[in-house]
Amino acid sequence: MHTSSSVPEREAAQSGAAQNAQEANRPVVLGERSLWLLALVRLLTGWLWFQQLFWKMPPDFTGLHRYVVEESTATFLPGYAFIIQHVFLTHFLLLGAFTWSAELLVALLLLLGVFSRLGALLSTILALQLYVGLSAAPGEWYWTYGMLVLLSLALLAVPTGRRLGLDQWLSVRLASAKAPRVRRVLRALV
Amino acid sequence: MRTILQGGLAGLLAALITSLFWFVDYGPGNSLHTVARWLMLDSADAGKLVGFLLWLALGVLFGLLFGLVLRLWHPTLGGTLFFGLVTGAVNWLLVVFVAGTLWPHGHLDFGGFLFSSVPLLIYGLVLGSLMFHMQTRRLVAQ
Repeated sequence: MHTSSSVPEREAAQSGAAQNAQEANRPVVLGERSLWLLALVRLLTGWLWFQQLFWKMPPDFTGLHRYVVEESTATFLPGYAFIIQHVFLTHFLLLGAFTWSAELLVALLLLLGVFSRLGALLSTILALQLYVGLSAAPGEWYWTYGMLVLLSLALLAVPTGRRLGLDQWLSVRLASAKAPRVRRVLRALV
Repeated sequence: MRTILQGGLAGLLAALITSLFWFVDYGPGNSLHTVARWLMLDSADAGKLVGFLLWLALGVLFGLLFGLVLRLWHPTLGGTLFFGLVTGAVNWLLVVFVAGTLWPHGHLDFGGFLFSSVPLLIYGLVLGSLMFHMQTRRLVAQ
């Protein structure tokens, strides 16, 4: 059998490849600047949700009604129009109260940076609902809600509340909490 | 003195960051008229600029006061963040609630109350976070 290189050369090449693979797979640690920048993104995303509370204020949530009706005709998900027409629109005040409260909760979690990953998760769910309901509506740019989903997912991936937020304090408190299961669950949301 | 000046700098930075809240709207920046209206300084021509400068000035002023208290009392991270929130709440209570709403108008509308209280609370939180960062960096450097 003929080989193109000697045993020591092959061993050196294998060792080099292993070193490269180790370097390429090294965990990425976010620097301070990146964390501060992402905290700013979190603050403004929270403000986005907060601002949108004011055109559908309680007690009648008037501004919301038009969009729910539009969702019933524009959604691309089979069966969703039926749910909107026969459940959501028939109990509109309940839907309005739930939507408004959920958006307020998301806004506060992201603005205060408290359980910011929970805020990002709820933001993703709300944005997905908007994408399903409104992305195919006439006059809407389908990427608008898609980008909101992606933005929320990005905030879910990184602990953005650890800077300019209460999660910085909460993460220290949770690290010393006594119940391990509760601690693990809560730390995942920070 | 250094802590007080650090408070002023943290207040300026916190006000700059949170000024984005007043800028992002259909104007852009129409909400800055609301800030100018707190001290009855609003006008069609210069209202936005006055609102922006007033927001920064209030940020620096309350930052200096924050630094003054922190010079006498050295809180932990939780204490600094909590006291930052309290500073934002006091800013809202004195400037917006009393001088901007109750005194000239005599009534409180829920929407206006909610809209103005949140940016000020977040200003306070950001102030506390920045101040803690500045102080711990100084300690590490020492």
